[in-house]
Amino acid sequence: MQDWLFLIPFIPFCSSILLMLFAGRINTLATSLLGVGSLAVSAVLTLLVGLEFYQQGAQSWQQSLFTWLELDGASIGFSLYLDQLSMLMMGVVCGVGFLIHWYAAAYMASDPHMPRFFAYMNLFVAAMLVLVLADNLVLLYLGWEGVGLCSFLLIGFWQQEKANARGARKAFVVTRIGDTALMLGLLMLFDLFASLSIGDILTQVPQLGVSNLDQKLLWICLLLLGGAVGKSAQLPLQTWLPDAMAGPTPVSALIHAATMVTAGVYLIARLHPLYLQVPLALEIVAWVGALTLVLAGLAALMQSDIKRVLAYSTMSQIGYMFLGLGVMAFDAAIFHLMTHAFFKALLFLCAGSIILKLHHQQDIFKMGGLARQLPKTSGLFLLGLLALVAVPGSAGFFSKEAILAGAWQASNPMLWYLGLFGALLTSLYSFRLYFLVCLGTPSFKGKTQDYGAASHFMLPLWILGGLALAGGYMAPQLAAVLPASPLEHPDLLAMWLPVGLALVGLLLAWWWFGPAKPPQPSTAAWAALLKDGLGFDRLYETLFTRPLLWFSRLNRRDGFDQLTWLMVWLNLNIHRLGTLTQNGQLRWYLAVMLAGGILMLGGLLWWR
Amino acid sequence: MNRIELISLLPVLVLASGIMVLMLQTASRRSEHLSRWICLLTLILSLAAQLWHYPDAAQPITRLLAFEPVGAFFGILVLVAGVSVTLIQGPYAAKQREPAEEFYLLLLCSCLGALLLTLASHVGTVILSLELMSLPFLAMMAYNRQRTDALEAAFKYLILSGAASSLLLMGFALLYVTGGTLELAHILPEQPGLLARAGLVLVMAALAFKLSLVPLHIWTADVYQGANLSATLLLTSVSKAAAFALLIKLMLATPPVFARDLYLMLSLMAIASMLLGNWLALLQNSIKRLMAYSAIAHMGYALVAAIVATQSGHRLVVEGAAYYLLAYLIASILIFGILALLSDLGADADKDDIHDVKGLFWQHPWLAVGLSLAFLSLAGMPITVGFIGKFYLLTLAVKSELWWLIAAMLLGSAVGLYYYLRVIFSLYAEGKKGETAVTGNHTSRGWLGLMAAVLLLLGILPGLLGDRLGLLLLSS
Repeated sequence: MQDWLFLIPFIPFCSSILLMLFAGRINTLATSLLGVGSLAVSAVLTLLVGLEFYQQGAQSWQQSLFTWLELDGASIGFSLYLDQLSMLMMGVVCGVGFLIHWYAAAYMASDPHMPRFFAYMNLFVAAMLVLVLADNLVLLYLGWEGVGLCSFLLIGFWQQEKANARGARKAFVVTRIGDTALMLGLLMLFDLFASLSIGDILTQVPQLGVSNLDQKLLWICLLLLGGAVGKSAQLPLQTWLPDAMAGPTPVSALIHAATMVTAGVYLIARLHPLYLQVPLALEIVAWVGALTLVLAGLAALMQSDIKRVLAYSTMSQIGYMFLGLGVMAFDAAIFHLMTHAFFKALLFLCAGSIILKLHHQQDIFKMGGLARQLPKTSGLFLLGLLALVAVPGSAGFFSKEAILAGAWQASNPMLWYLGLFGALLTSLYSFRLYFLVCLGTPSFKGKTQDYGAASHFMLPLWILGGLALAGGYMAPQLAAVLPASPLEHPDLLAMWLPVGLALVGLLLAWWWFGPAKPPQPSTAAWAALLKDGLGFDRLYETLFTRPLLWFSRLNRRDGFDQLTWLMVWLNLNIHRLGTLTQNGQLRWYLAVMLAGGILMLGGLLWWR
Repeated sequence: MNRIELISLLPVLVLASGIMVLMLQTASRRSEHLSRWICLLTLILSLAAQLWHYPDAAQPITRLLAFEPVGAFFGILVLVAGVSVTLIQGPYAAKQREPAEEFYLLLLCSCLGALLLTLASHVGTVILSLELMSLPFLAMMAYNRQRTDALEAAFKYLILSGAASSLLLMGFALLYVTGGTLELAHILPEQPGLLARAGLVLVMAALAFKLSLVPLHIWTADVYQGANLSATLLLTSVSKAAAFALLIKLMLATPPVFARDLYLMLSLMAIASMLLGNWLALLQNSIKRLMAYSAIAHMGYALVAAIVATQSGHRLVVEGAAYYLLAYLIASILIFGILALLSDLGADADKDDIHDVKGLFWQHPWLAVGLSLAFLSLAGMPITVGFIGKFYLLTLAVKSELWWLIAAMLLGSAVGLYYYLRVIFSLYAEGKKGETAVTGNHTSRGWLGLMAAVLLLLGILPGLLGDRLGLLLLSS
């Protein structure tokens, strides 16, 4: 059964190719069957492979398919690697991915370009699976770029609108910066270890331990972090994620919440032995996470677009994961990755249902009172938010608690304080969202649309809701791959303080945004700043975009161009000069001919 | 003359008897249809004879002719060109008012002359066959006497070709004075004096005229543009192939003492032809004129092959030269054939302007694709036979380290790409309104389709012909 591992990414890939080939020639039903069915097969296979994997004692295992690139002394194979970590990631990608695909089949049913949508989605899943299953870093990079490409294509899926295309371009360019850093990091790794196989590198790392390598290793870690930060929308490359919400909502759920944006977390967890050698790098990871989780939480407070609130919340939660990685609570970070995939996918899909039922209204100030009109969706939405806030018993509680426990034991107490502050912010923006969307008086005019396919919509939501509720009791076994977190439970105060802060957040949210108050976006300057994501966009624009544009304008008529034009000018003039000889007069032709003959004879004499 | 010699001469004899039959037929009962089929049958039989009895080694037939592999290959090219012209002439000339039968007679005479030229081993044969080949051109060029351009072209060709013939005669006379023999193989003494050298150079000059090599290229554009499409195709294929056969023969007969100087001169001519030809074609709007300039450039390329061939005698070399000319011939047949399908000999002018074929793809996609393939082949794009031809040439030139020639080849190709692509872009541009009329019957279209298929096939599988060519030509 394990031999079928390669089929798990291969089937969505094939289905993607088929959908691309037959786009425009197949109907909605066939598209859904192909697009969702391929994911269903992959999910079942994942389940079967997983069962066997755990039956055999969770031994790591490699499947070599073929040699991909021949390098001197280090040929790079197209091989997959299965261990507890990649098994978990594969489960999340295929499981949550399947549910989201299912939902998307109903969500996108009326879109004329549905085959294209599913072609991209399936391709994304295939690329993401390659990323998590890759046995070497080159293959991982292939998946890394593949998911980036699909993210670009899907953000701009409705490319008729300029804003969507712009969002897609921004996401592509910004993540590209991270990708370049990652590429440099990989090259340096190859330089250092003469191999890019993850297994080879990780076994060699502990034997290094020489101090003069530290500088190099630090650079490698930072460059890899650069890649991770770009993909996972952390400081300072976080600006693309809110604009990525231009894509269809299932895309936001799958790519920009559950899977792709967590690839950075996976990368660092996968290569954690490198980071363990360089404490400074780990500290930087922790600080990146802590700062991002606070800044994104602040920005989420003032958003008015439901999806942008969720985007900033995603950023903030991934910040928690980075914090977990940074304080060496690797398994906690991965645990949070999993639970976050459950509840954030649920939140996005609920938001998608709400948006669709309100005729593509995304402004939370124009919602309100939905708890009565859409009780089931609102209930599930609340469930997701409770998991996000980490209410005891929900999935988020266990994983976030584990991360905060790690931060509690970190050398710098500031990290723990930031994590706590983040918990307060999370609760504040989550309940603000709920109060504005579901309670109060409806500001929405007209009836909510009633969907016949409601059951299609709802079933994946129920499953995800169950996972958001119970996911916390499925703590993954990662002992064979990741070192156990420094386990020793913090005292009771430290353990319950986040919960208490969440309660404070709830009360504050009730006070500020409760149903008693008329929903009104704040117009203060600080609110505008927060809404803008703390002005990073403007900062980058002044620092980088403008000077670059200025320089390119300056360089429009550059020397090389002029050289090319000189060639053109030269050729055309030779042509004009040459045509002067072709004047059509016989006497001239005769003279030229004889002159030619004489020239030949003269040449003969000359060379004697 | 024994039996084997007779068999070797079979292609020539078939052609000669075809001419007799055609004359008798025309005298007894005029029928364009019948004449065309007689002409076609003659050419095909002759081609079959040529292929059936391909020479293994040089074999003299009397003192005047010699049957040898390289010449025989050019003979095949001549006959293929002849068949192509016969096939496109029918529909092309369907609406003209002149009597049509004589064209085929002239065509056969011209082919006979060209075929004899590929066999010639004696000055007498050379002069006779060269004139037999060239004189019918004059009549064929101006076949529609209503076209003043055609008359002008024929007139120019008459005068200039006469001048070239005088150079040829003068050259042979000088050679005879010093050597005392008229046999091509021994025409140059072992230690040629100035007189003998001058003689050879004059002969080369005359051949350069036929091949339209710089500096005797000046007639090409006007004559190509004025003459009708069939005659232009003949000029660019039959005449050039036959003249090329003679050029190689003379170069092989040059004694080593003089060879170095001669090759230097020819190299300079090749470089000048490649560059000037491509530059002159750059902004050309008339496709016939463009093809004239392109012919100058391509003959420059072929001359490079000949230079390498005679210098090293490597097997690849003859193969390369032959392949290059073959590629050029196929592309020319396609281009002129398709233009002939679009044009009418009875009209005042041919439809050869770049604006006449603008947007052709949207009305006649197959014709446009055929033209594109031919132009791409001329430009030397991969998967066409032209690429293989250029590839052979470049490989050989690099092996022989002829860097100046290579530089000129590359520069010329770069410039050439521009004007070939210009025509191709025009084919796919948004066209003018109104249907472009197309003539042509199944045979002519089928033949052109076959040419396009060969162009692609030999481009994709060069070994198909290359290996055989190598075997055939090596034995000489």
